[in-house]
Amino acid sequence: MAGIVIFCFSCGKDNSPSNNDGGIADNGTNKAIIANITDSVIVAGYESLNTEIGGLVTALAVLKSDPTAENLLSAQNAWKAAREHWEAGEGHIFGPVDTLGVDPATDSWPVDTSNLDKALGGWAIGNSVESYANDLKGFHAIEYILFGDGESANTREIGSLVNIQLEYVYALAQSMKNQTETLLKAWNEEYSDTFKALTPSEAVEELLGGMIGIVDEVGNGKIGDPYNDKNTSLVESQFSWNSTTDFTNNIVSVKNIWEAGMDDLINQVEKAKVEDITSKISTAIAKIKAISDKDNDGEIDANELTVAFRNQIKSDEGRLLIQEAIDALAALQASLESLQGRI
Amino acid sequence: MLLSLASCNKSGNDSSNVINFLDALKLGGDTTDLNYSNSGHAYSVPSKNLDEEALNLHLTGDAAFETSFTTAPASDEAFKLFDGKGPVQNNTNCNACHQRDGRGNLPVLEHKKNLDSYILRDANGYYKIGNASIFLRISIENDTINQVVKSEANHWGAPVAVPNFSDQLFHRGSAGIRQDENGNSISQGSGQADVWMKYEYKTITYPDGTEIELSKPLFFVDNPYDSPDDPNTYNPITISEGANSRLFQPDVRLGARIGQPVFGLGLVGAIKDEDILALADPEDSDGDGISGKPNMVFDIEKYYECKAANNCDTNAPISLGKYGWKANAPTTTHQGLGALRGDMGVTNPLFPDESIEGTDLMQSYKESDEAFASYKESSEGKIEADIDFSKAVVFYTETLHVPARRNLKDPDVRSGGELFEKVGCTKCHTPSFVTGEETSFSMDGGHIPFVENQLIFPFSDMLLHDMGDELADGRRDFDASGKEWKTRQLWGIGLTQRVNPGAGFLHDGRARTLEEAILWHGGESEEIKKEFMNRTKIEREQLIKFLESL
Repeated sequence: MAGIVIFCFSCGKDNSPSNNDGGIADNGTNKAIIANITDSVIVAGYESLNTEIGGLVTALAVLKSDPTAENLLSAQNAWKAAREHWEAGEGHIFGPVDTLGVDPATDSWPVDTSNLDKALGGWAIGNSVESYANDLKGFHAIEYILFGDGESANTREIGSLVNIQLEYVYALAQSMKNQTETLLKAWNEEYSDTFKALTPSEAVEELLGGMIGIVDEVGNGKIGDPYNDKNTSLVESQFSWNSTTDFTNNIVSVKNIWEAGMDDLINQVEKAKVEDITSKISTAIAKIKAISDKDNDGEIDANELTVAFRNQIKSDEGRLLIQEAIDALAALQASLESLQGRI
Repeated sequence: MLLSLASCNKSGNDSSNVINFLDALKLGGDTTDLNYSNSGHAYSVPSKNLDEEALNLHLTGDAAFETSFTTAPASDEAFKLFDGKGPVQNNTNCNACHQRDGRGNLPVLEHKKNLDSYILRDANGYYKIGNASIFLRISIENDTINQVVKSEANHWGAPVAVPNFSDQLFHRGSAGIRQDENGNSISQGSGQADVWMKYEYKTITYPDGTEIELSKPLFFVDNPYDSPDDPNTYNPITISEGANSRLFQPDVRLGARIGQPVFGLGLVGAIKDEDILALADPEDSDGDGISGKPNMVFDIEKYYECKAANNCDTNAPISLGKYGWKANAPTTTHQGLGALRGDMGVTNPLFPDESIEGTDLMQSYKESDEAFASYKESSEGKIEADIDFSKAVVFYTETLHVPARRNLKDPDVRSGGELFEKVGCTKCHTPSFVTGEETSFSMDGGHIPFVENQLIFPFSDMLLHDMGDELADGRRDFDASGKEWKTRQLWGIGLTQRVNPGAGFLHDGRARTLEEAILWHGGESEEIKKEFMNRTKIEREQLIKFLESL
């Protein structure tokens, strides 16, 4: 599903009408911190995303001209590499990523498989993909074609891919490259300055809203909905079995903002909360990873794909791990929400 | 109550009115959550005063509002949960047009020309409307008719749908709905027709010599299904050659509509009709140059009731319109579920028929796609969004809070507010109302107590006004003429571009700033606009600052 889903914005907050006062001082030091978050996390993240999408374009060009199992694997890995940077930017889905329609064009979920299957039967592939519906484009449309159905395996035989599919995913990747280049340009040429011009208090409110939004979406939406309904069709990145990695990177996006100076800003108004939130971010990341980290080495390895998130929601052992992750995310969300009205 | 009386003072000369709205903080009364009123998330906040049960329904509706629908029927059983879209539509989810519950933006932002590389543009500089938060309303009209005799035959004054199309142009469609003579799928993603746009410009000069350039989007229809051509380019010659399309006949009217903010809608619904009607002055009998006309519109919920009682002749299903750019929808249920069926092609309990039912396009699609034809005969194909989904998504829009004011104590904001009153803006942008008791109605017939008995500051009289030729779309909509538009609520307007930096103002998103929106005012607001233009630059900026504080 595209965009931020704010599931529980109202939980656990107090009544203090402080929005007009601003607890974080409007001074040069604090403005520098906001500038650092902007440059070193947001813009740097979009630069990495743009680079990795470029890698995906290259890998899909190679696959199109030389469709071998090896090149398919390279393309799948390029997809995952690009995906990492997209998910690690979901803690700050605001500004041009919304306005320019980059988010829905890049990350619409679910894919319109019915239309996509039919379209690949007859539409000409060319620059017109730019005007295709968003649910026929982006990461998940490419994933649907590159990785197969994701039910019993997240791989597909190279021989099962036909030319029009290879042409289509290449055209989609090129379209995504247009989008991410535009996104980067928009931040570099205009929106960075706009964001840095906000008072530190306003900027923190925006950042905090983004952080709460993604923690909420991961805990209650991306993980919570399929877990509660025991419905694998709700699982995002289900074809590639990349879901757990997606969710982890979502909270990494929160960590990146926090560590780039948000913790220092909060320290000025809610000192007692800083350590608590730092700890809860780490716990949430660890608990999410643990869903699919069978050998408990802190990483999700290729041999751990059988405990992919979509399979874990159906196993008793997996459900215990998922519940722990949900609890950790709820605790983090509550702590972040307790900052509202204090900044 | 003093505040209530002040709000009913259309002429706005009562000084207490000025004091009241200048000091107003919680624009949505008890719904306003002060902790969430100063960021790009400010519209997406549940009303502060919801109880636990209501909050849960609201959050369910939040997820429904974000649901991205896929084409029905889903080819994979696993994705049936999301299907329902189409066979023609304008977008795939509510949020796509009401970004972050706020205004939409045009697909090409004229002031950000360097950022449109991914929009399909043809050699002549026309941009194709694809994934956009805007669509065209269409109807046929005889220019001499601005009022119609309302009857069941014309749905009590509804715009007349273009034969073989609808009353809305669906520019997107399912794969396979557009085919060549051999049954091959053509026109990538096109629906009934494609829509292209381009800008035109004009310069406005203030009496003090300050110049400002205004841009206006122009919309063009191409590649209609009854006269198809290349979907990848807009060619004006094709239009004249394709005049056999019903869409190109001279009686067809087009009107662009961009997504509106969806917060505070329950509060608007709870305003007593008599309080709005008390402000009406359709003949301008007080001679102040301002009319204010109610739009009495078709109410589908009343229609089902009178059909069941077999008394629509004597009990016409008409209500006061409160929603939409021309106030053509009476309730959030009518508006929201109408959009679900229309904008996304998702049928629901209130609107069980596809918008293009009975057209040649629907017929040919059914004939060519057996799975779709049998799906439409099934119960799941008739009602694609069930009653629980429908209730939740409507309740969501009824219970989003209205953001609080900001910078109340800023002297410029206060001066700007006083000027807002002095130049006459409050003649239409009525500052406040007190919502009624048992005046709100949820889908199951109950009330929504959280939006009742609230002192609110929408800054709208909820009535129609002639806004002049520049804004006119020439398209009648019930009692609204082609020049008349409903006074927009101004609450929350200062956060518009925090929520969506590309959002534009007015019905087609043309105004990039609040100042531009003011300068587009005409018709009965012409003199008030001139009053604004005659003020000093500092005063004009103060008035804008006041608007930005809302």
